[in-house]
Amino acid sequence: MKTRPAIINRTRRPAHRAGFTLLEVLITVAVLMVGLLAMSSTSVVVNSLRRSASDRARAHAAVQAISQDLLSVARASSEDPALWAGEILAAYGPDGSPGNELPITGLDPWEGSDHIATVTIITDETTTDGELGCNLGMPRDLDGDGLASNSDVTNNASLLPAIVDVRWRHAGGEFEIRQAVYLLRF
Amino acid sequence: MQPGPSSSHRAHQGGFTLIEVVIAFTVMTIILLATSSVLRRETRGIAELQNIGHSEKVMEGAFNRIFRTIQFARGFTPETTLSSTLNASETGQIALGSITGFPDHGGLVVDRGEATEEAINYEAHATVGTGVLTLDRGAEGTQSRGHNAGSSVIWSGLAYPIANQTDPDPSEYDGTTDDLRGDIYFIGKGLGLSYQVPVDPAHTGSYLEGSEPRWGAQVSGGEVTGAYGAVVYVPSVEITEADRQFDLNEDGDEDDTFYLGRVALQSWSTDPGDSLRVNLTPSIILQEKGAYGSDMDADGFEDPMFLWSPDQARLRLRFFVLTGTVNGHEVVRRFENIIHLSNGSAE
Repeated sequence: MKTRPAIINRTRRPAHRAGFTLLEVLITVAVLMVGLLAMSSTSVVVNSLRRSASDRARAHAAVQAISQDLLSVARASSEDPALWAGEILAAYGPDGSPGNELPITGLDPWEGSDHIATVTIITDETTTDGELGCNLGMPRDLDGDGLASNSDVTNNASLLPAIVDVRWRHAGGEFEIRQAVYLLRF
Repeated sequence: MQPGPSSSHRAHQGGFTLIEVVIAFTVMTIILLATSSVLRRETRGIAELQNIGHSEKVMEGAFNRIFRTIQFARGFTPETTLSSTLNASETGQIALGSITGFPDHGGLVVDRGEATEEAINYEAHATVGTGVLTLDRGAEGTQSRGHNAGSSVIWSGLAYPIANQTDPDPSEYDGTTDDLRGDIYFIGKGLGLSYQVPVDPAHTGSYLEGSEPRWGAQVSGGEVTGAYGAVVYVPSVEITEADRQFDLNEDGDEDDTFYLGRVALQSWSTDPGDSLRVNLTPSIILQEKGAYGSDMDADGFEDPMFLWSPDQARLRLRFFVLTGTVNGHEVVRRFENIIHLSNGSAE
């Protein structure tokens, strides 16, 4: 009957009792940490998505509110053709009150900008859609004289196209909504 | 005697000692507890965020529904006078100069801005004469008082800008609110707007009667000529900051009481049974009890829910909504929009 050489026992026993190496432990801990971090980041991602949807809804509401307010201003402005456009510009023109640049509560402006919403009221019949970057059907007749040649219809407009532009920033991205509004003199 | 195979095998397969097993179990338990805690927190956090998202969707839907309902409406400014003296003890009927635009049940403010100001709730329009019936006198913390014929009466839902917007005397207005085009001095509480829309009950294909719109509203039996509608706030649940341990209106204390209520479409016709109320939101909209239209976000401005500018046919909507909680903190969000009523204001 053969017996096992003692040397085998001496070499194999330490191998059996070695347990985990430092590398194995580190890998296991790292995998666990990655898993836990992934789980904990889920709500961060969900919150970011919710905030993104919430910001977009807020931006849409702002566009709608400003567009509807423009219609209200147009309605309340003088019926006199010589005054109508001027009164609208006194509210939403660049020198008006509140002016053509507006902050919107709850939204962050684009990098380098201090406002969210911009209102552009078109008083130049000769402006083109290409120049405006918006499909308004320009150039067009705005003062009812049958021509689209007047470069400033402020004193006799019967129709004023306006562009409401809302730009906001979220999670490193920059977003924009543009809407055209047509203001009619009653 | 040589060692047997079994004792050699046991030595080689020593297994785990008790201490190793205990340590392993302890570590595994800690990891499992940490994992389940993270999972629980994540699940709760995601559910909370979904609740907030849902509330936001509900409000978007409500705004869209209000917009679709009243964009072609003409709005009313329900103001009138008492057509006879009103005694302090009267609880049966008030005779009014007009009930045009006054909902079939709701509230009035008599002598607004005077020392004798009184809020009165009523349950129906009078069936004989012009007035309202079944009175709850001295509502909203006011006192029941006598009022002379000719005293001013406004619908308690109404809030509108005063004519003098340049440095008015404090007695001329109830509050100042921030707005897109600057601050506005206004009177009223801002709980709703009453309106009529063009209707075609006979399905003629035209909303005109001659050259004028055929005015009415959608009531329980369909469109009815001469009926009225109102978008109104309906309080339903009373909550306190103390109970919720949260300063809902950010005014620095936790001792205010609020209503949680809903926005509803209410409509009525001359037939008392022909009345309809459709809820547009669940009860998630906050208003301070006894101080409707008060400042809800500590910005120094009052926040009426409905601000009606008749000359501009402009209705501003502003709601503060309890959207939910995140990590145990209440989340109150402001929702705001403007609607231009394309048929203007009723004369």
